[in-house]
Amino acid sequence: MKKMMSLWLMVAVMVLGIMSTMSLAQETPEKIIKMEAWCYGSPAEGFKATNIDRAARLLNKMLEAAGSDVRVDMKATFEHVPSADALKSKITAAYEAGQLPDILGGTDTLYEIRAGFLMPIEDYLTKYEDLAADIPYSLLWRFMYKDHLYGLPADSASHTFYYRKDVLRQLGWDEAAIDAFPEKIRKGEITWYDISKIAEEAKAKGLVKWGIYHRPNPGGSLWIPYYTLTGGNFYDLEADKMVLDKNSLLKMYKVYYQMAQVDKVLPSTMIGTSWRKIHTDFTNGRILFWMGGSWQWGEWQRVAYHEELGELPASYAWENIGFSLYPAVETGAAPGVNVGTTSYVIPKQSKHPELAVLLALLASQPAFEVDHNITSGKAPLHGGTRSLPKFKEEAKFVAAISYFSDYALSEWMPHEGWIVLPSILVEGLTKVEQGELTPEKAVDLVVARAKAELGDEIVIK
Amino acid sequence: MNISTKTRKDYRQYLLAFLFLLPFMLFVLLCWIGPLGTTILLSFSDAKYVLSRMAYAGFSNYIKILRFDLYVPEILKITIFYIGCVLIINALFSFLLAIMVTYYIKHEMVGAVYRVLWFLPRMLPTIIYALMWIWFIDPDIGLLNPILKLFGFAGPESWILQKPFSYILLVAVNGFIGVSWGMLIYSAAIKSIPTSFFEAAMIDGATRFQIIKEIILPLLRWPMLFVTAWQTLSLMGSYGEILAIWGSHGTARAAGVDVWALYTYFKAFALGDYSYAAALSMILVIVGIILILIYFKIFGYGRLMQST
Repeated sequence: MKKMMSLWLMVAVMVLGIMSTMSLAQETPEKIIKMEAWCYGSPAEGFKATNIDRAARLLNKMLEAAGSDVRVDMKATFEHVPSADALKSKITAAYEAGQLPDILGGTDTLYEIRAGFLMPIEDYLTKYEDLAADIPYSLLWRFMYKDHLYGLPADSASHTFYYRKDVLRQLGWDEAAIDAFPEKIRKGEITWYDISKIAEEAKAKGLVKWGIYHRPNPGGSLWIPYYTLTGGNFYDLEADKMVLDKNSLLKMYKVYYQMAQVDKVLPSTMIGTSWRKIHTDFTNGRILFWMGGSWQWGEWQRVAYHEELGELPASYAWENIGFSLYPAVETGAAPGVNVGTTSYVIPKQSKHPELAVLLALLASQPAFEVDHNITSGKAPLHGGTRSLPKFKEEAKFVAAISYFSDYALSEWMPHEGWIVLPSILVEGLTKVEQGELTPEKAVDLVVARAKAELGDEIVIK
Repeated sequence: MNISTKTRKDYRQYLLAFLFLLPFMLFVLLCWIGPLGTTILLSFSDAKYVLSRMAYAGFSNYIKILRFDLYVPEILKITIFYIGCVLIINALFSFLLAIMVTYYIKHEMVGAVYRVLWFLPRMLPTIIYALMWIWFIDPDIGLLNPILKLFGFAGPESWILQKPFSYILLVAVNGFIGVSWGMLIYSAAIKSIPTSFFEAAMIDGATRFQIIKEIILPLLRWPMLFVTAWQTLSLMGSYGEILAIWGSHGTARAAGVDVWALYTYFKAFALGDYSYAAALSMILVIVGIILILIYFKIFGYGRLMQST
C-alpha cells in the first residue's frame, strides 16, 4: 500500500513538474530587460517610484498585446534622504563604480549635470513628443544646459505661505476676513511687514509661541523676498554669470531683520532648527505663519506631526490651516511664489536610455500622476490630469492653489556658483537674524564672500 | 662553513619575521599608505565631482587655501580653539577620573562599573550619541536648561546656534568622548604601577597628593604622550559628531563651529571639489606630523625608548 502511495506521489510530482515547466515555457518571455530607478523626496512622494513601476507594467502589457517576447523588469525604489550631501555622495560613488540606475528621480540635477553624470535626452523627447506635448516649457526649461536637455519634470511644486486659521479666529478675525486673507495677499495689500505685525499681536496675546518660521537651511523659499519680489536675480543666462543685486539683497535681509530683531516674531536661531520641530510646531498651532511648500500639505496628512491627532485628518487641515501666495515686500508690489519641479533624469550609465525616457514620460501621464498629486500636494504636469474625477475629488488642495501659476517665477541657474552661493546667503541671514550684523553689513559680508569664492563668475550690481 | 650556516639561519629567521609581518604591512599599505598617496596625488590635481577625471594642477589648491580662501583664518581659529580646549579638558579630567576609579576606589568591581559608565559614550554609534545630545540641549524638552535654571543660570534659546554656547557645546560633545578613552589608558597605566611603590611611600609618611605627584604622574609620562598625540590626531580629523548635531555644514558655519575637518568634508561631498578637499586634508596631515614631533620632544621620547 505504502509503495503504491509513493509511486502515485512520484508520478504526481513529475506531472506537476512537467506542467509547470511547460507553462513557464509558454509564459516566460525570452528577453527580460532589467532596469532600476532610484527616487528620492519628501515622505509623501513615494509615488515617484510607484509610478515608474506602473509605467513599466503598462509597457509590458503593451508588449504582450503586440506579441513581443520582450519584458521590462523594473525595480523602482523610493527613499527619504534628509541630507542632500549624503545623497550626492551616494550618487557619485555609484557613478564611479558604474552602478548608477537607469532613472534617477528627485536628485540634485544641477550637480549631476556639472559632474557629467547625465545623458542629454532631447532626441528621445522629440521622438516621444506626443507624451510631453502639454508639459509647460517653463518646467522643461529647468533642465536645459548648454543647448541640451538633461531631464524631465516629475511634477510642479510651488512654495506656499501657510497660516493658522484657528489662531486668526482667536485674534478676533471673522470667517469673512480669514477667507479674504489670501486675496488681499494676492492684490499686494498685505506685505511681509504686515505679516510681521499680525504675528507680533498673536505672540503678544500668548496665542502662539512664535509668529513665523522659515526653512532651517539653504533653499528657495528663503530667497523669495529677494529675486521673486524685489526684482533681484541670481543668474544672467546670456552672460552665464551669477548675479548679486545689493539693493534686493538689502531688502531681503531687512525683512528678516524686522521679523527677528525688531518684532521678534521669528526665532533668531531659526537656521539649524530641525524639520520635525518645525512641522510639529506648525501643525500643533504653536506658530502662526509658515513659509512652506505645497508638498507639505500632503506630508502633514501622512506623517504624525500632531501631538494628539497624529497624521492630520484632511478635515482638520481645511478647518485650521489656510494658504496663499508669499506676500509682497512693499505695499502694492506683486506677491509671488517660486515654482519648481523635481526631476527624472537618465544617467549616462543607463544601458537603455530610450526606454528610461519613455518610462519617465509614461510615469507622469494623467492616470498615474494624479495619485502623486493627491499624496504629495504637487501640481500636475499635464492639463488633462485636472479634469480627472479623482483629481477633482481628492486633489482639492492642488486645485485650490492652481492660481499660483499666474504668479509663478522660477529661476534656473545652471551655474556652478549656485552650488556655493546659498551657503553664503544663509551665513549672512543667520548673522542678521541673530543681530550680529545689520542688514547693510550682512550685504557687505555676502558680497565679499561671494567675490572671494566665485571671482569673475559673479556680477555685483 | 660556520659563517655560511649562520647566515642562512639568520636569513630564514628574517624571512619568517617578514612573513609574520606581511599581513600587517599589507594592511598598513592598503589602509594608510594607499589613501595618503591618493590624497597627495589628488591635492595636486583639479579633480572635481568625480575622481576618474583629473589633470595635474600644480600647487594651485595650496595657493588658494593659503592666499585666497576667506574662510581659512576663521576655520583655523575655531579648530585651534576646539582642539586646545578638548585636549586640556581631556588631559586633566581623564587623569582625575583615572585616579578616582583606580587609585581612590579600591573595590575593583565598583571601579570597573564607573569605567564602563564613562566609556558608554564612546561605545555608542555616533548618530545615537548625537541624538542624545540633541535631546539634552533642546530648549523645550531638554534637560540641560532646566538643570542650569536650578543653579540660577538661564540657558540659551539655542545651544546649536548661539555663541558662545555653540562653542561650549562643541568642546563638551567631543571632550566627553575623549575623557573616557584617556581615563581607560591612564587607569591601565596606574594599575601597572607596583603597589609596593605606594606602600613604601605611605610608610615614609607621604600624603595621597604626594603619591600622585611624585609617583603616579612621573610614571604616566608615556601614556600621556600616547593619549595626547592620539587625541590630537583624532580631533583634527573628527567632524562626525559636529555634522550629526548641527545637521549641516551651513548651520555649523553659522554657529561658528566649522572646524577644518568639517570644511574639508563640505568641500568634498557638498561641492564635489575633491582636489581642494585633498589639499585641505594634506595640511592637516602635515600639521599632525609636526605636532607629533613636538610632543616627542616635550615628553622626551628618546629617553622613554631607552633600555632600562
